[in-house]
Amino acid sequence: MIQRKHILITVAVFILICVLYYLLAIYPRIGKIAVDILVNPNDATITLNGSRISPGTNYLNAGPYTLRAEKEGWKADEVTVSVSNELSAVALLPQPVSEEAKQQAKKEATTRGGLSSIAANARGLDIRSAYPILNKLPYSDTSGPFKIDYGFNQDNSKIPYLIVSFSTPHGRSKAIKWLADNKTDLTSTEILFDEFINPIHKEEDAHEQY
Amino acid sequence: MSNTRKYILFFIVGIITLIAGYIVIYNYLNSTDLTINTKNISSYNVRLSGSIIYSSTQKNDVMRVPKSSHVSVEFKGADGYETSSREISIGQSPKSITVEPFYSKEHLAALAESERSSISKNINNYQADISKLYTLSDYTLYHFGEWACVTLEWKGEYSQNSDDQRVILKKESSDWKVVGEPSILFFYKNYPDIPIDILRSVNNSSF
Repeated sequence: MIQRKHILITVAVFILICVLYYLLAIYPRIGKIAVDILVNPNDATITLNGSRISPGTNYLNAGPYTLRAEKEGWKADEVTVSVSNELSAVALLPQPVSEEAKQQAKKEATTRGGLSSIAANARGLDIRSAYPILNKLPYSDTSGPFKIDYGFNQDNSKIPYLIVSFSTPHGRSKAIKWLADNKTDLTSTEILFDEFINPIHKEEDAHEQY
Repeated sequence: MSNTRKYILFFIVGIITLIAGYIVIYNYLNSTDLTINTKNISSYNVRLSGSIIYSSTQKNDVMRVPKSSHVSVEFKGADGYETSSREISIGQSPKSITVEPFYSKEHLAALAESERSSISKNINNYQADISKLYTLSDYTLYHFGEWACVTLEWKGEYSQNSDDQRVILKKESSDWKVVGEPSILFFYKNYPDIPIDILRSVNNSSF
């Protein structure tokens, strides 16, 4: 009888541990995506949409987030990422400003080198997930006729612009239709028309018309 | 019932209570209050990740929604008002919003007819060449009739720059003013004073 009691208590404790493990470790992660958040220097303060978080694996709902790492003596690094199944890691690399910070960065150059490729990958994924049309460019249609390509503004290398060239009014109209059919947001993407000179505007403005 | 069976039953009930209690407390701590006040709305649904989490016909409601989430309020407007939706971003703290639909398309179309001559006059005042080069068409009003878009259809022969364009106007103290100069497309950063939903609607009407 005592032996049976021991078995029952052991089973009950085991079930209790399993339930607690599920509640504390698994339940909060259901439906979320694991993202490794890496930072150098290690003791930099990291915030996610303004709330402080710890480096390492964080479980996040899919969607856009702003991550920021800052530390005294370093220039803060901020990145906006779109958390999806394609994104597994984000690296934040504040740049050294003070002498002490520069020395520390020099000592940890190998680590920072590894993290910078992760940071570049996350930024690249971010741009391509925000502007999926980039995966299909450059695109030409000789019957349009039109050609669509893209570039990045020098002042903000994360925001691309699209340029429609080798086109006529029919070609430009077809280019807009093609972009819309390929789910391009015609309002939040800067679209330039290379040969179009607006008959209404002054000539000096002509190449800046949208 | 033997004592052993009683203990097993208590244990199972305890575990179920623990799980249910934890889930309720966890979800409560990870959610925040959203207060919705409505105006000119007959009913509305709140959607989270595609599923309806709340339906109401009341003018004021408070509900719990997950922190750091995005919800969509779909509403049916009263007579003369649109049936549409609004996207709302939820942060970490309680939020209060007022949802007020704009005029319905039918109501705006009727208003556009009465504003047509005033809009045309102001476009021609903006640039006299417009009436020589283009035919004004598709007078469309937005929101409460204070925004307008007109299509400029090229009326000459087909040439390298004979694209149709659009112009956006705003009614200020009963007078229409061109706020979005004639363009093929409008990039939102160049027009920070024009609501983005209007720019989207204008751009999407270009194809």
